[in-house]
Amino acid sequence: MNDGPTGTRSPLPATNGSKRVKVLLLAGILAVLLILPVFSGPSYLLHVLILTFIYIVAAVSFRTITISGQFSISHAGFMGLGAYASGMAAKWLGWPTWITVPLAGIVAMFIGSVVAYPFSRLRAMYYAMGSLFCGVALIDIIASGRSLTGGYAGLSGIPPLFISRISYYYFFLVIGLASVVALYRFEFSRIGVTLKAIAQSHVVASSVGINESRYRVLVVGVGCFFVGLIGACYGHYNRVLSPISFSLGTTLWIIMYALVGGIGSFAGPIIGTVILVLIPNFAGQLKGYLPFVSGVILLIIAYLMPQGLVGLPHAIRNRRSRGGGIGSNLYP
Amino acid sequence: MEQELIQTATNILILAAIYILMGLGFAFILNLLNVFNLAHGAVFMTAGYVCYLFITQAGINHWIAFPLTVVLIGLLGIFLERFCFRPFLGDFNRTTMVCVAITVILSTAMNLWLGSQVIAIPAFIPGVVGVMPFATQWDRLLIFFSSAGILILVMLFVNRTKWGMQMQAISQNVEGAALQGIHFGHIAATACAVGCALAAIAGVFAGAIYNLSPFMGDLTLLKVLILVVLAGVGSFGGIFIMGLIMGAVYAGLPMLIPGAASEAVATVIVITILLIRPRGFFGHE
Repeated sequence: MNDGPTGTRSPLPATNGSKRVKVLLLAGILAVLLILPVFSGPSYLLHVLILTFIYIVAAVSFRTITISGQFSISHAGFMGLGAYASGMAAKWLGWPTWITVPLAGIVAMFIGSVVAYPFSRLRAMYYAMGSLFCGVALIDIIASGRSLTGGYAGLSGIPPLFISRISYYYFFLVIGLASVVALYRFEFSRIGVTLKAIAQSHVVASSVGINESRYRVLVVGVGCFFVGLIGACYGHYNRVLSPISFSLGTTLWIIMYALVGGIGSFAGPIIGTVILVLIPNFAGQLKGYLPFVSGVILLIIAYLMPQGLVGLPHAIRNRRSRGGGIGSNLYP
Repeated sequence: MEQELIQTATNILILAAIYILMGLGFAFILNLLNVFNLAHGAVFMTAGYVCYLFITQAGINHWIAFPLTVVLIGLLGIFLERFCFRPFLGDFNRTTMVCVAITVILSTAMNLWLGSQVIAIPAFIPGVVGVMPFATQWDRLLIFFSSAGILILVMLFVNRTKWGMQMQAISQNVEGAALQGIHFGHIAATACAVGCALAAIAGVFAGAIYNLSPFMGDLTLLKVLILVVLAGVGSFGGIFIMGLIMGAVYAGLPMLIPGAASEAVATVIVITILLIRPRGFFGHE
């Protein structure tokens, strides 16, 4: 039982030329996203894009926790915690939303860190299972809040942030972009490198003077802050919250977004979320069959692209130079 | 009062039997292949629906439909081992992806097909047994005794037969077992078949006592994860004891604490236990 979940793999090599292409591509996508509402108006497309932004932040912050070697299966629980914290503070206490939303992030960070502290002695599989039960417990506690949280019937009447969907769209674009940039800076900072060292070998990391449990608690706190923040924004956007929408299934889907894109690279969760949230939502008439589409995408990625979608160009390059197929490393 | 006590006691025993059957199947796959089979709940749910379809749509007799379902789901287990677990051995991420995909596809299929109806597998033996204060349905009695019989058979299989011994050898040391001429692939396929067959038995029992639902596997899977982790990975004996305790907790606690709070209390207790004893109660490593 020593094969724990694998958090990070070595990043794919990137050359200088491809970096410039990437910057141009990102700028292009951003420009399209900025001017999109002018053409589309407050349509269904904007709603789907808002959901995509929300889950991108969730998936990226999940991956940030995994770079320390902790496969946390509780992410939707903390998203729900943030959503309920902000929604309840705004509804019952009447606090202004611009206070409750950051406060929800801090609440999620605080509770995440408090829970992570005793959990930092669990490793690999046991950490994954412990965090799974932790996410379930959070939602069970929220569901047992009777009239305070609305129980399984849900919390309704949460005050909105804006009136129009277009304002929401820009708000989520800014929040999403800021969170992703912050998490990117975090991962490639000194702390991020330390976390990767802990993931590779916690014994070696401890031997050079790294306080392992402190860093592991820190990264859980950071991940929970961002997911709590975006959860709070989601609550004020949706205006109705139900414990069901933050259950184990949602956590598993957030993990799937990260795995489909490729958990070994920063862009992976973003690409995975776009594939699994954006594309299936345009199936139109076939709405009931959507989960089939997602399931088939998962199977294709698992069988053919071991590194996720991000690894696809690398695999194609390998095929050209060495003659190995896309799935050539399926049977090592 | 007596009626209520008898009712609770049978509920505890039935729930414990279902958890133990599921947990043993899960542990078979976990011990041999090191796979956290997140599709176990979907297999459990599918078995219930398959048995229901055999009995109501195909008009097959109960006593033939039940073993037929178990054999069919056992074959599904061999299929799962060959095409879903073996290619990704040791790769947690991709195994999880495949298991989630199977769960999604199976539960969506059942949901689209039969999800809107409230259905249950018709009773094996209709009616009530016993005199009124000490009465229970025939089905519950039947399920309790057949679960006990099946569990004894499984333990005999593990401890007395060649396959069971080989299984234990592999879960202790894969390379050592291979050196003794044990074929890993055959034994892994056997373990998956037995594991899924046990889940199928649990699924049919659950479908006969409670209602069928496309999502009944998700909740049961969660309970089974708790059971296996608390019992300790690698321990079969622990599963029996923890299964009884969990049956008591999940069937008994709602009597003391009403509503959703009982679930929350139970899960918090589980986390506390896991923090005190990370390897579970009966785990060895």
